[in-house]
Amino acid sequence: MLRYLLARAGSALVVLLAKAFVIFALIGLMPGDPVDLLMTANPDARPEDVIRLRAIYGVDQPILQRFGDWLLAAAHGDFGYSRSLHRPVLEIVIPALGNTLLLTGTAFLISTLLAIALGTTAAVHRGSLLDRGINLFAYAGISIPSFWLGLVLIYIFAVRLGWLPASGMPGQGAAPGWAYLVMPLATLVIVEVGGLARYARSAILDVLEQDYVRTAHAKGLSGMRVVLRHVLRNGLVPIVTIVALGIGHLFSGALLVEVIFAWRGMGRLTLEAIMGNDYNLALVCLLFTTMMIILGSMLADVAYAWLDPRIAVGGRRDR
Amino acid sequence: MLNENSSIVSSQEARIRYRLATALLASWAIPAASTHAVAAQHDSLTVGIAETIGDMNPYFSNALVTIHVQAAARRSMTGITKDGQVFCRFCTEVPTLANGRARLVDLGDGKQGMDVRYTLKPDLKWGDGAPMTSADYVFAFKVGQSMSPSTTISAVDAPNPTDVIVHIKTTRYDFDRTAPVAVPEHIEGPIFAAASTPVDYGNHSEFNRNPANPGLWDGPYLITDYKPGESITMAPNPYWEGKKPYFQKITWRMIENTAALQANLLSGDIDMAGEIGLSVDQALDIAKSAADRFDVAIVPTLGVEQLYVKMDHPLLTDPRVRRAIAMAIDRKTIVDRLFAGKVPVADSFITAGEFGYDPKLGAWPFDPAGARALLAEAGFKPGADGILVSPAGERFSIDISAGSGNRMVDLQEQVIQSELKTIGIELQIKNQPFRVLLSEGLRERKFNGLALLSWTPFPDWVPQIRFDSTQIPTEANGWFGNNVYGIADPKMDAALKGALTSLDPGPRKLYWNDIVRLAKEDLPIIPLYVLTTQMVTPKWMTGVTPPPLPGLSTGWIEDWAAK
Amino acid sequence: MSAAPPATTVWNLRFRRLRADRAAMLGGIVLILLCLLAMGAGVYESLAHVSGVDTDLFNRFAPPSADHWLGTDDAGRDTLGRLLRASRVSLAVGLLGAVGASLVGTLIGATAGYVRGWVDVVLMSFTDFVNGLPWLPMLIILAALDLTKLGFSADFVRAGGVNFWRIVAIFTVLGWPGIARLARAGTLALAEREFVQAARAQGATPFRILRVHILPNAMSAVIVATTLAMGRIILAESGLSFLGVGIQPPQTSWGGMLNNALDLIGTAPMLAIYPGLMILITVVATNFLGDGLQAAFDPRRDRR
Repeated sequence: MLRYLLARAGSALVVLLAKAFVIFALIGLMPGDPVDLLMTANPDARPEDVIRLRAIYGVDQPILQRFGDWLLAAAHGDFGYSRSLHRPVLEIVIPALGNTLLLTGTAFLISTLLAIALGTTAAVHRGSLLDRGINLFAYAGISIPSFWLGLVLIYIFAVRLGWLPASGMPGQGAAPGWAYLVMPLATLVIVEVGGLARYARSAILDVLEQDYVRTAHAKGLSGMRVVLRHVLRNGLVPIVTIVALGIGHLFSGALLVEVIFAWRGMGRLTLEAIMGNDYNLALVCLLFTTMMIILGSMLADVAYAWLDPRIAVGGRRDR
Repeated sequence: MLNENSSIVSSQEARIRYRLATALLASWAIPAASTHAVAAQHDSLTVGIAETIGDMNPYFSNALVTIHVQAAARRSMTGITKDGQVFCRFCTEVPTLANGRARLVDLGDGKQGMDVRYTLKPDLKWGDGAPMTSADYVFAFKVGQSMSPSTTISAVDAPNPTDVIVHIKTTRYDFDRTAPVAVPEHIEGPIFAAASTPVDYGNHSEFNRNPANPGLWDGPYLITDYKPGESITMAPNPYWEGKKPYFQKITWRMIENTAALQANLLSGDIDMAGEIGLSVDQALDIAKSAADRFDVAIVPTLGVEQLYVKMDHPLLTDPRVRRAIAMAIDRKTIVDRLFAGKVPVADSFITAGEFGYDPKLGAWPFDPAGARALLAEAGFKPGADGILVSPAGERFSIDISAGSGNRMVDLQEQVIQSELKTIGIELQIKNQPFRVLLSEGLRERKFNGLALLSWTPFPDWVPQIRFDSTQIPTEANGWFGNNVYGIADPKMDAALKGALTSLDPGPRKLYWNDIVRLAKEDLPIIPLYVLTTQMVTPKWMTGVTPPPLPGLSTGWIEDWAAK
Repeated sequence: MSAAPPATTVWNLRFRRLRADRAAMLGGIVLILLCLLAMGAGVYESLAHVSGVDTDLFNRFAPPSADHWLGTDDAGRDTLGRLLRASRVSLAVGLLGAVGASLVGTLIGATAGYVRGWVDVVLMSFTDFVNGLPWLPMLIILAALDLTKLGFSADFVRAGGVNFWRIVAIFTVLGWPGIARLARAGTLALAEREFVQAARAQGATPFRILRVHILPNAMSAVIVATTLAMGRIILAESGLSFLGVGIQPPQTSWGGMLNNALDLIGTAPMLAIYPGLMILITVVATNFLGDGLQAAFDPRRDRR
């Protein structure tokens, strides 16, 4: 197990470095560069200025060198300044991370717990009205685009009923902090829980049909004990995979929800950085996301191996 | 669902779906609950803006939204009204040749320049109480020069703490608006001196590190709180010498999505949406549905929505072809149907009321039959599928480009597409994200026919960088210049130069007549309609005047008040 | 001597079970109907003398009538005609994207799960690599790439189809890592099973084992994921439209119609209800079908 973990960690680092370069190159491949945007806005500019500004911003150097410079600085903890905001990148990213985590982390927690509960209930009471009701709710949830759901919620609860503030961050207005979280959270949970619940349900169903469950029932164990002791442990395996992968996407932020609710999070920040050719900022945002995704998939592997001891991590035993 | 009773499921589901739909529709019928009781005292104001402000340093960002918000806290030496009248904000009197503040100067080699002297009003102060002096103006010019040397101004001097002298390289009609906008030397000076490059200065400038520093601002308001990407809060500047502003607190909230912005307005979370806010459709919607709560003003600006024409596209080189395209577009119907007639049709690239506008000129009329005749005259014959074929055998298929993601723009493109189809031209819509369009489509002149864009000039601004033949971006000159249409007409060049350098309005007007006439004949652009800004203000507000330029209503923010 | 009963293969069993599952059948029929309707967009338009493309500024926001069964939209286009055209695009993007991601993902994931060892590590690292690639910059670059330089003909590039294929490509690239993981997980779980070991003992090649024994049984999770993916892709495309980088006019998709209707939520909410309903129906139908397929392919059922 340890050998496997080390191998995975090593490969993860390599992947991260390779990704950093690819992302760096991708941003560079995007049409237009920062100087372009500056020049267009300034009617007095001249050709010599273009050359000078290009040199100042360093966009006239070959990409490998620029990447090397960035890597060196990053190794010392210096992630540079945002070209479009003229502030240190970390100073911009860290608050956004916090905001996003608040939203997506809470939504993720609620969705996962709710999904497992709903999925298990639906699986155990399979075929009943309850099962069908839960399925219906799941379908409805996963069929609505998040930005639409968000806007509809705003119109119902803020415009028509006036119960909640329409959008914004806690502290912006007179309403209590939590009031600003309710609708974005609800939006995220509704669109996420459906898919998770269905996975949970199918996973639990798979397990319920296993022989050892019937054996447990035959032995006289109560339903609840069977569920908790035997079913969940094995049924959780594919669920854990999905969940662990979901952790990786926590920080990508829920871009669409953030835009609708004017939430100052990583999703919006990344979008603006990319669209503005802001190398330093976009790179850090994207790399952080990448790191979390890699971490998430590693977590998935580890949890999977831990939960299902039949999988000998790292190779077949009979070889 | 692994069960046998699928039929029950599906009809149940259908019933639930129906109920969901009805409930959703019914919610529109419920009148808005009036949970937002009108406050007795309106001494604070929340304004919604539909863009986020990035950089707060004026040297690095000319984004309109930044200028808009900062105009409440940062003023220039002179201002200009919608009619092109210059007036003094910080100076004692507007420099003219008559009062001797502006002089012609012989620069040698037969060249003439100008020296313009402004005198600051006494006892002007920055927001932290430090005095505003001519040194601040000299400093402002110095910083500007380090980034991008001015083509018009050679130097700015300060012979004493109250006089600012601007040295202009040529004679220009707009000499009275040339003073740089002051930057506090006592705050930014040391930072600029310590910086190694302009970017370094930008990274350490107080404008971005601490915008709430009162010493940065000289207008009626100071910034008291800055939440990047979220909001900016302002309070009155105690050192402001002009009219005292009414509102004790103004909060600018950045809500990018216009649908969400509208929702915030209707729910009362923001009080008003100004120039950087709602679309015409949304404004019209509010005028209809919430007329008891809001005043809606759809204000024409100096900008014109127009079609950029690539004049050297092989199919578009013949001016008759370009004229035919202009004649095939029914601008009046577009304006009547899409904007409820609230937007004026544009005759030219400048609007009525501008100095250079010629009311007798007019635009090409809507005449599809005439357009077809012109095309036939130019040698185009209809092909098998109804699309014209050029004398050289090429099928008449061109592109129209615009920034993607804008519904109204998409709509107009599709209308124009339909209209051109009736005269046998196939138009393909090729939208891209705006920044891609800007850099590749426009700057590198890769747009393949037409582009739907707008241009808002300053009042009384000569479009030399747009129409002069030396301003065509090419690979050789590093894609520099704004003449993306490719117009190269020596008569136009001469008229532009004349308008730029004439100091007397008489000859200047004649040059302008040439410019607009040539623009109509050559058709580097096809004007469509006048750009409007939508100002939606609550009924309890007063004093909000339509701005001369979109974004500058805040230049008169001290007039905003509650009834 | 009576004739031996006709041989029932595993696949016969499976399809018989599927046919018996009415919900799945309903889902399948609805999907086929939708596809037929979508393909018939042009037929409908010529029969009803309406257009889902041509604008008519004099007839905006018309209510449903005999001429326009669902009324007209903000450009005067026939809403039903536009809806059918949008169906073509959305269904195609969803189907092609999901199937593409599924094929690539299964290939890579099953191989990694079966062969194990360093092949597994390499393939999974590659999967991780692609997994985190930033989709927005990639989409913008793809949008701006000059395809003629890559050898595509100028006519193809200028046609409206390019944008469509770009979006399908993006979804394939974004989707296959997730599928690969599931395929690998499923393969891993089964590779240790007795019947696989038995087949190996009998001398079956790895390819045959994968094809005959493992894949059909590991596919449950992959099938569920693929059917869910189709719905998710259709929704994701609406997100792309929201950001302005989705299907461009004059083509449109359900997501594009929804996005269009955002600003019109006060004036014409029905313009959003129709595409929203279509998405709901499609997602539900694909999920019914997916559930049915999963149950039908369940190896445990084979034993009974």
